[in-house]
Amino acid sequence: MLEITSTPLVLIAILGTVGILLPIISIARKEQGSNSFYAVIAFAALILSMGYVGYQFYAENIASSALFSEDVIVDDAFGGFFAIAMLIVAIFTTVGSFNYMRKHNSPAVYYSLILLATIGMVLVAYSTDLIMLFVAWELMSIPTYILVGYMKKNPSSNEAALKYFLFGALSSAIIVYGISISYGLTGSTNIGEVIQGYSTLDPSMLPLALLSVGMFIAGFGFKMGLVPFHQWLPDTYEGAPPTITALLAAATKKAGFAATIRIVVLGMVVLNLDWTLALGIIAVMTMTIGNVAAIMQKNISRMLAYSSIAHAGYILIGLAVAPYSSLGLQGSLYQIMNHAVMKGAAFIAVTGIVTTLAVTHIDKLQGLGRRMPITALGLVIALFALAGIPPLSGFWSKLMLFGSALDAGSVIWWAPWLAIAGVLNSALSLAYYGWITRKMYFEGETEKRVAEPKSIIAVMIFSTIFLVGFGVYPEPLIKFVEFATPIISLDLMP
Amino acid sequence: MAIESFGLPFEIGAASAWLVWILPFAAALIIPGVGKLSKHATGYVAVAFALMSALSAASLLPMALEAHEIHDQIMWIDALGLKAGVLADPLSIIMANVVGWISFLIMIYSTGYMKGDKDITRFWFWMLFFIGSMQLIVLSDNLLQVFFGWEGVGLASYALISFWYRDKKKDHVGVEGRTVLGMLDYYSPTHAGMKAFIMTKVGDVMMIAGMLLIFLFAGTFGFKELLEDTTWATTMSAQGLLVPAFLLLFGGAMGKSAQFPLNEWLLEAMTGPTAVSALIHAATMVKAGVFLVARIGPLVFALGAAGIMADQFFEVIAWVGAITALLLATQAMVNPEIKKVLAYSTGSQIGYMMMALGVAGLSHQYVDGYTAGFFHLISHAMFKASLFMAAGFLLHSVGSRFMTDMGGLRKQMKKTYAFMWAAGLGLMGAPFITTGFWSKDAIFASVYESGSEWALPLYIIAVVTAMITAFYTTRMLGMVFFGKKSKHIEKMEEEGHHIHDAPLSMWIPYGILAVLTIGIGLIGLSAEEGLHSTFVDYLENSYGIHTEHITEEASILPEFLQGLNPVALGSSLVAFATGIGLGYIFYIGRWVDPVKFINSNIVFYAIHKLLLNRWYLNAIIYWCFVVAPLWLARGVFRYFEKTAIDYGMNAGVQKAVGWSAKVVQGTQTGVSQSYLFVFGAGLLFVVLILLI
Amino acid sequence: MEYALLQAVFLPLLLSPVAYVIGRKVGPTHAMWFTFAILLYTTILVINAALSGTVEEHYPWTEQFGEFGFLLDGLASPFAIMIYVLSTILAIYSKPYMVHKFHEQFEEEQKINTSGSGQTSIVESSSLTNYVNAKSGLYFALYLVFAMGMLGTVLSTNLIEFYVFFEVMLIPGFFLVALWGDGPRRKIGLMFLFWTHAGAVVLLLGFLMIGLTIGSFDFADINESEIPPDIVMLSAVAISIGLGVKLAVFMFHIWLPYVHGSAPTPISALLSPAMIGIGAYGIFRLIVEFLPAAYADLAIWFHIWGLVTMIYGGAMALMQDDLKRMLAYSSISQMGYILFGIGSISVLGLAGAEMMYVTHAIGKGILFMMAGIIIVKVGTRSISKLGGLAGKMPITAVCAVIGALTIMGVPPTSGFMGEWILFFGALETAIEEGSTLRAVTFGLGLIATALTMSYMLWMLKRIFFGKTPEHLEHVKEGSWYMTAPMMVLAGFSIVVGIYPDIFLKTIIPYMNGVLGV
Repeated sequence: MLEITSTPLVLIAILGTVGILLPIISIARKEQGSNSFYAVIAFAALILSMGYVGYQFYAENIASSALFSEDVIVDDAFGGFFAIAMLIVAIFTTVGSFNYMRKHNSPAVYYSLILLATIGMVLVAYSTDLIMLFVAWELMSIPTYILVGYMKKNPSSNEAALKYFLFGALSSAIIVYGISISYGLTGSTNIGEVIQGYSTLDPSMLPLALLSVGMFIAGFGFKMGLVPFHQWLPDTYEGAPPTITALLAAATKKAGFAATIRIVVLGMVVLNLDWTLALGIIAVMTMTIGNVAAIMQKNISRMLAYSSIAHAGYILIGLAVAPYSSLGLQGSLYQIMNHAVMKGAAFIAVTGIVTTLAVTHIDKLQGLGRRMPITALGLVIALFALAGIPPLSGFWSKLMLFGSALDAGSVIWWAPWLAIAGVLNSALSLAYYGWITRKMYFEGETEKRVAEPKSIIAVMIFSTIFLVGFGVYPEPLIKFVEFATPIISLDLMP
Repeated sequence: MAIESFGLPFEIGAASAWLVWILPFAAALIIPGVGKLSKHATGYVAVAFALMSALSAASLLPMALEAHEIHDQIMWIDALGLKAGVLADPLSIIMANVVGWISFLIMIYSTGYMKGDKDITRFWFWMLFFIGSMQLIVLSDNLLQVFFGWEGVGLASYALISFWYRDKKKDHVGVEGRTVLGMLDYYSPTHAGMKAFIMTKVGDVMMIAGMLLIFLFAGTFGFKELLEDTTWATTMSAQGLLVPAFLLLFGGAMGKSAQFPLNEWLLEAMTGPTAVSALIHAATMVKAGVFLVARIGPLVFALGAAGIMADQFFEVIAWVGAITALLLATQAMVNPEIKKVLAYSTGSQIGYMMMALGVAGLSHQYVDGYTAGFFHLISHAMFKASLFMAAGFLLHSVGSRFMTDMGGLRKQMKKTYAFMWAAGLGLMGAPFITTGFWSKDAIFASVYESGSEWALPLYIIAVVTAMITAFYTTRMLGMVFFGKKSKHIEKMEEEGHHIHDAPLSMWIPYGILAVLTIGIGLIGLSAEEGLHSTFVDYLENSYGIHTEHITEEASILPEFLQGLNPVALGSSLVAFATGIGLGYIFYIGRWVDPVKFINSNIVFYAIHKLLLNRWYLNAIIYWCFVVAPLWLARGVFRYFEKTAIDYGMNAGVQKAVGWSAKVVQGTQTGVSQSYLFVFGAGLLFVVLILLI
Repeated sequence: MEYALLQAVFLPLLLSPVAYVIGRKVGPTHAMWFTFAILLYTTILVINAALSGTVEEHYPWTEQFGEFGFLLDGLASPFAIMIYVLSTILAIYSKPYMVHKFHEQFEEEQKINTSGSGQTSIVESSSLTNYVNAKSGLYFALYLVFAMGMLGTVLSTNLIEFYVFFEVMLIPGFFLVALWGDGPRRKIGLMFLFWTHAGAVVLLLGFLMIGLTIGSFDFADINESEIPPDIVMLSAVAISIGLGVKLAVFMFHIWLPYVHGSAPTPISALLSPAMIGIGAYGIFRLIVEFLPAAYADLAIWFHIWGLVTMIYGGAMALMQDDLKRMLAYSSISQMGYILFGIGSISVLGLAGAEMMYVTHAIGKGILFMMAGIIIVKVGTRSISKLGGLAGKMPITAVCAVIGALTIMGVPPTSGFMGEWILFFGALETAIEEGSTLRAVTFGLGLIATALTMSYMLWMLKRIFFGKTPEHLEHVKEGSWYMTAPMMVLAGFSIVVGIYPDIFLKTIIPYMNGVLGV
């Protein structure tokens, strides 16, 4: 049994309590629009959670790598790692909303939904049981459906919510179907037992097992934004409030990866290894289509949405070569952490731009370097980090990912091609990141400076310090990633 | 040690050898500073330093007579174990004196010639640089250091030929608008400078290739070291690389000395101030090539004596020299520009020197040809410097480079008239009284006596060239000084320009040289014998080339001509007489109008045109090496760089990405149904891959 | 001195914000002197370190990717010295050029503003001053980072560190081009960023292959370990391509004419001589030193590729009318020389190639400065519109001639010392191997020097000689800020040309060691 002080339980307690209390308080206070009050509470709750996770790591109360457990959740470093990444994004979102929500109604519910979604995400990462995972998955998804459509008078927000919900429901159904198959085959919903069951499976049943894995890939792939399950994503990201887009792109996406790593990647070891190729192909498709589509975009949210599709492709490289190279999952995890910060910061910067200048069209970003220097600088650093240019943190994770693919080359022939595709894509992506930079800094230099929201500045400062700091001296982060990365081995089975 | 009898310790000898070339460079360095203070003073400083350099060269002369040598080295490029040094042996000492003193006279002349030029500081800088570089070539003890001087003279010639860089019309050479095979035969100073630099660079490229080949096998650039241990030559010879290496070295000499086929730059080099032309033609640049051949020739011959044969080297030199001598002499017969006539003549005379140095290696008595060639170098330096300086004055006072714009000047400029005749006679080889006669006769004799299989054709070319030389020199003198005054001069006099004789600073230098031409000519035979015996000792001591002493049989010649070859003497006299006679008929006596004569017959007309168009060589070189490459480069630029590289890679990649982005965009319809379809297809795809 | 190299690399980076503030608050002159002082100090540190022989410094960094170190040895020191010497000198030169550029841009912007409002406003001098101050602060800050990136690359002791610095110099470069370039500067800035980054990631692939195979990215480990032949070849090809883009050799030179043509001239003068040559440094260090097996196979290709680049760059330079583009193609050609030298598997060929870097840095530095002076003082960069400037700007003309001679390889400039050693190396291998191919490339290479001479002399003729067009009657010589740096370099060229031991005595022992002679 889990102890009461274990990280996931405490997080549920903190975030859940606050999340439920917020609307109640708002009803009690009978006032609408006091945005910063609720924001501060939500922020405090998130910081507290973050602090607790940090403390648990510091106090070495957390097991070093992902374990399967007989419980439905486990307090391991893998989950803790994701929890940190997601909490960072949730904090970004909350801080970004300080300013954004000022003009919108019912902030209490808004923050409450963010907190609830955060619980869902975190729990997905901690889950060791398929049913638990599914519950967490829905806990994460449902608040975000609402959040995406939060601006009820905005048609594109509504369309975004609709599409998101439609595909969310579809993918949930597919996941449930996958769970049911695996339950049918192994008689258990505990991930560890499922995997063990698969390893001793009757060969005639193998296709069914593979079908279930395929279902999982498709179902989680929806959240991860893998091609060809990605098409809802740009529409949704563009229509949703940018703060929520940050949450979707930087955090819920990662929940998909967490689930995939727990179920699919660790499960792969016991099944026919050839199907890592499927992940490889999807990875190449995802990053290529994401980057190519991003190049022509005129809307910055949409461009970043495609960029996040492309990044899903990079992360998937690590998953695809995970059985062949120890660097693979490390790289993926590293990239997940970096991407959370980079993409989160980028969308928060967009939030700042939207709230102060009300523009999202890239051509309208002219002279942003002058109008909003700090936001622009933060955005540029985030973009260059996304492009993987040293000495920014994004470089190291890409280095590990491509390195893992090359490393795996000694075992499996197609792995280096992933690295080559990744590298070429990475170069290609610089074209559109550079394009935004060009618009912001090199055009329309006559604009006057406008006041930048302080909350946005705070996020920018944090992300810049994170990206540059860990870019120049990456050792702590690398150590952390190594600590959190599960080692793929059958010995881990309970 | 013999030197001590002059009261000079040996070290001072070494120091003065260094000083010979360091002084002009040092002066060049301070000249810009002096120029800042006073432009007027630059001339004095430059002349003073040139004099000091010449004096240090002179201080070495006693050693040359004793056939001693100074070899002094310092460390230079330590990393490669290369040393710098001076090698003052009789060859280089005599050469250094020729260069030093003639340049000194030219410098004096320049003070008058360049008076009032606003870029005078630059002029002096480059003149000193030129002299310094030449002396560096002469006194260096290794090829790499020679190459420094070698490129130095190239650079200085570039700077001085295009000295009047503003490209005014009067500074051009050639007839404006005249074309040969579609190539303009009219050159601006800057164009001419470039042409000279690039064309000689072709020679330099060959030379450096030869140098590097030798360095590769010998591990040294030093002349003395190359001689000490000749195993390198054996190895190279075994690999068949020895002759190519020497020929490549000779390639450098061909470029600098304007030998066929790298001769074409020399004509345009006339765009420079005339003092520069004098320096280039008499003392520095073109003589560098001859000097180089004289420097390495004994080495090659000594190798040959040791059994490592490199006869082809000498054959090529002899033939290149002969062809150049004839080719350029023929062109000198028809050219209307006085400086160009002199330029052609220089190339032709250098050809003589090359021929002699080449033939020397083919005969048993190396020293005969060697002395002949070198003696001709000295005498040519004197009379050609004199002629150029005088011609410079003519240009100066008449204001035109065309001889057709002169005529009848003998009364107005008596001194110039006299000196030009004296120097001109030297060029023609007027018998018994001029240095030119003795040196040319020595060449004839050495060719005739060489015993080479090529002796006869070479000899015929030499004699024919001598005849042509006498003709064109007479033509030049006749056109300038005889006949009626040209319309140009009459017009000038109408406008009030009075034509007068040269000022002191100008006529003294060319006067001295003209007088020397005759003066040394009078004692020519003994001068030659002196040089001969010096070289006999030198070759014996330094290279171990032994000269057999032949006791001459009494010939049919009179007492004072004993020792001369009667055949050579006879043909020399005939050639001189024929040449000067023909010249007299057309240009001094003016019994036949040359223009009518040429037009009287299609053959004469064609030959005249061929010669005037420089055998079409220049035009062909331009077509092949300037027009064609430019055309090619333009083609590549337009149809490859601009399209394949620039457009293809930049715009092309951009377009391709844009196009694929559009395709990808096309799938993003915004319609949920189609998304669902894709989603389903994707699921199917994943499952299929897994199952397969 | 302890931490000398660490200081040399990081002082400029750490003080770059200070330069920004000084520029902003005080003005370009002070910012310039501040930048100059930092770079002078660090240059002295580097030279001082180089004099004391091989210097190594190591600092802990990451476990997985190795340590962070600096190594100044016979190979790195000429590169390092030239990079910082040029940076230091060009800092002074930057001031008048950039102020001129800022004025131009300010006027342009004013024009846009007034045409928008339909009124003519008087340019306020205070707003101009503020504008110039702000821009010059940014300029010098970026300048310092750029210089530091280049130095860091050549001092790296770790593949990843090398890559990091390799990219670090790209970013300020991109900003400098895109902010203050000429022509379609934004597009060209992006082009620069895109292509060199594309090259860099290919390079990274090669690095990863090596590093992962032997399990370490440290140079020291790579040097000692045995790498399987197939990996060696693959990674060497990837590294060559990656560095080839930086070196802008034939087919990979797409970006260079644009970028050199457009970049603000002091930056062109750094980009061209200092930066692209770092590609050559990379080939020396990574392929020649660490992957000798691959080097032996690739050398002949380098040789031929270098030759083609030499001739191609030279031929294209002949066709240019834009002065800076012409110099850019000349740089391509010169990089061909370097590659040609690397392709000769001989101590002297390699030493010559490195000397070529030094001499190209000097010569091309001078020529770009000349171009800058002409742009500032004449206002055009089209060669066909120039002529007869020698009389108007004598100092520039003299320095330009020396620079051109350096590129042509005419003694007594340093160019000759690079060239003859280089060609000797090529000949040596040709003869030793008895290879006709190599003999032919040697000959063609020598002929290419005549081509170099042709385009250089033709350029000089068209700019400085001939008739002066009427519109150039009132052209004046550049200020001392611009001419003095040129004169220093010109003098340096001759000093190195006469006494090449300054560099050769460190290069030759290193090359001996590398080739195991």
